[in-house]
Formats: sequence, C-alpha cells, structure tokens
Amino acid sequence: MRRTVPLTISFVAGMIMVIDGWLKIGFINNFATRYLMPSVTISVGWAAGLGALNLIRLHSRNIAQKRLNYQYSFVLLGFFFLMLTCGVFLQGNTTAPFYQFFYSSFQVNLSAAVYSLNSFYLVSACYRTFRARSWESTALLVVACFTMIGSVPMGAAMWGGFPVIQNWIVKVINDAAIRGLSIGVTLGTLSQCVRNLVGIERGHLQAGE
Amino acid sequence: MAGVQVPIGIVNALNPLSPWIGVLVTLGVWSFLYKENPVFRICEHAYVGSAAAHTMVTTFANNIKPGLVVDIAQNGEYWRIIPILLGCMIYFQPFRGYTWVSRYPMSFWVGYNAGYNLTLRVAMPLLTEVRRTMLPIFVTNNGRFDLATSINNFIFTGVVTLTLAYFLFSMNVFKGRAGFMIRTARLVLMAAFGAGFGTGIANYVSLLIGRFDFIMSDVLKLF
Repeated sequence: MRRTVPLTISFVAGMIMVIDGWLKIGFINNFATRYLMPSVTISVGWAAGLGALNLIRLHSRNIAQKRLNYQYSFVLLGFFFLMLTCGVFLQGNTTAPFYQFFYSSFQVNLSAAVYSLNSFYLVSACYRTFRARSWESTALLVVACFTMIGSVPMGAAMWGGFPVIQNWIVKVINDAAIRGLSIGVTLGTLSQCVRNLVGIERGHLQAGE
Repeated sequence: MAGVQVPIGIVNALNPLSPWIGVLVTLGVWSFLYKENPVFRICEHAYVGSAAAHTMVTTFANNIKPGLVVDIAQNGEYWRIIPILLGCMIYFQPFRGYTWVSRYPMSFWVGYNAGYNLTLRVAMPLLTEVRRTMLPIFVTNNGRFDLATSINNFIFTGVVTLTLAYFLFSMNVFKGRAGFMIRTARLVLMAAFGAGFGTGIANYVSLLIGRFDFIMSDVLKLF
C-alpha cells in the first residue's frame, strides 16, 4: 500500500501530462493546464522549506551539543533569520528597501567573491593537470591555451589569428561535442522518464527504508 | 501579510555602508587564499545563511503569498489547498515512522516531470538538434564549391557522430581497427573539454576582474 499508491500517483500524473502533450482531448488538456501544472508549482513552493528546516536542525544541534566550530553556526542562523525576518515578516517581498540592503550588501558580494575565488583554483588546477602525457591530454592543453589566448584582447594584439582559431574551435569542435553530449543526455532523460513512469525506477520511494 | 514598514530613514542611513560591507566580505572570502581562517569561515557561513534565506523569501514572495492572498482569499480557488497539503506532506520526512508520507508528494513530482519530459517539449528540441546536425558535406556558394564550409560541416557532423558513438555504445563493441574510432572520439572530446575549460577560466577571471574593479574603482575611487 505504501508503495502502490505513490507509484499509481506517479503513473496517473505522468500519463495525464503525456496525453496532454500529444493528444487533443478537451477535458484532459483543460485539467492539465488549469489544475495539474499549477498544483506542481504550488506544492513545490510549499515544500521549499524542507531544506531550510534541515539547515536549522543541523546547526541548532551543532550549537546545542557544542560540536567543533559550533560558533559559526550562530553566524549562519543569525544571517538566515535576519534576512528571513526582513523578507517575510517585516516587509513581505524581495524589493523592500531593508531586505534589499542585506541582499545587495551581503548576498550579492559574497556570491561574487566566492565564485571569483574559483579562478585561483582553476589556475592552480591548470598548473597541476596540464601535462602533455598523452595525445588526449595534449589536445586538452593545446585547445585550452588557444581558447584562453584567443578570448582576451592581448591574444589578438599578439597575433590576429588567435581569435579566429579560438572562434573556430568553439564554433566547430566545442559546439559539435556539446551537441553530441546534449543528444545523448536527452536520450538518457527520455529513457529514465519511461522507467519512472512505469515504476521500474523507484529510487525516489526509498525514504524511510 | 502587508508587513511592517521599516522607517526609510534607517534604510537611508545604512545604504552608504553597503559598498564597504561588500569590500570587507570580498576580502574576507579571499583571505582563504592565504589559509583557512575564522574570517573566511564567518563569511562562508554568512553566505550559506543568506542564500538559504533568499531562496525562502523569493519562494514566499513569488509563490506562497500570492497563492494565499490572491488565489485563495480573493479569487476563492479553494482547490489550491490540496496541492498545499500535498507539498506540506514532505515535512514528514525527518520523522521516523511517518517518513512514508513524504513519498506521496515526491511521487507526484517525479511522475509529473517524467510525463512532462516525454512530450514534445523535450522531443522537439531533440529532433531540432538532430536536424541541425544533418549538415551538407558539399556546400556550394553562388554555384561555386565552398571548401571551408564543407570541411567545417564534415568535421562538425563527424565530431557529433563520434561523441554519440563513444557514449552510447560499449567500448568492447569497438575492437581492432574500429578502436581507432573510439580513440579519435576521446581525442575530440578532450579538445572540446579543453575549449570549455579555457572559456570557464576566462569567465571566472572576468568575475575576479569585476571584483577588483568594484573595490578599486567603485569603492576606493582609485581609477
């Protein structure tokens, strides 16, 4: 019962969408558009708090049990509740000036700083991994160098051919490989969807076991 | 639901601090380049906390609040209570003995998305991509043979075919001379990953330059 009902729900919800997508049957098209699609948006929205709840639970336990570096949990929970209070309880939207102050001062700058930090690690990774040990690694090394040199103004100043080569590599080799990967991923997605729909794939029903 | 309005004077007084907070948190995050330190850990935890809160606030403002205030209270669409209850069932997940309740919304979402992906919404882009890959090998331009475009089309189609062959078929299928095909596929894939890697580095470096620009130009007014 605890497996059959969820599998039936999966099958029915999926089949309604399949029928809606391929056939013109008035009441099913209407039901899918008016009720089923908004239902997913609504239910996902109401479920979004689960991640936050887990975050609160984990860091509250850190503090309660005084685990290693539990002091930082205060910072995390402090920022979480401060922004949540400003956004939800004080003003109720994301465009309110007080919420915008916290968002643009902390969230935007922290996000940009964390991602810019990645550039140092990518350069460090380049230094450690760019070794021409085989034909494949040589191809990666040469193409990455051409792409980097060709995409900066200094490369064009050194030799006008660098941007042309970079453009050719991106437009022909890279786009073609990405398209091949994309077609493969889409085929994989379609087969996985069929497995989910007919109940062969049940990984999402493992909760509590 | 309208919320308490914070006096605009407080916000106006705080706003000049915003760029300096930006500089401090940026330097705090970059301090990790020296070694892991308490300032970085504070910035890291502040980032996670504020990001989680922003997700919650965005969801509340765009989904929950309009649903409750406009759709249910004003328009009287009471059927929307059913998906709300379904979404709330996911909160049973942490409770031992009742975890099975959370399978219902999960199965609904999985089934819906599986069905959604099996329609033209996914199949059509796939067919479009396949069609766009069928490029002419012999290209003529104003009645004359266009060698450069023909070579490019040949390489493009070949790389797509090799990539698909590499991922869709088992390696053991290609033994002996056919192994050459797999080796070539691996070579072009590595070349493509190299291009992606180079572009990625360029993007991250531009982010880094943006941060330097923010500190040096926008805040310190050095340039």
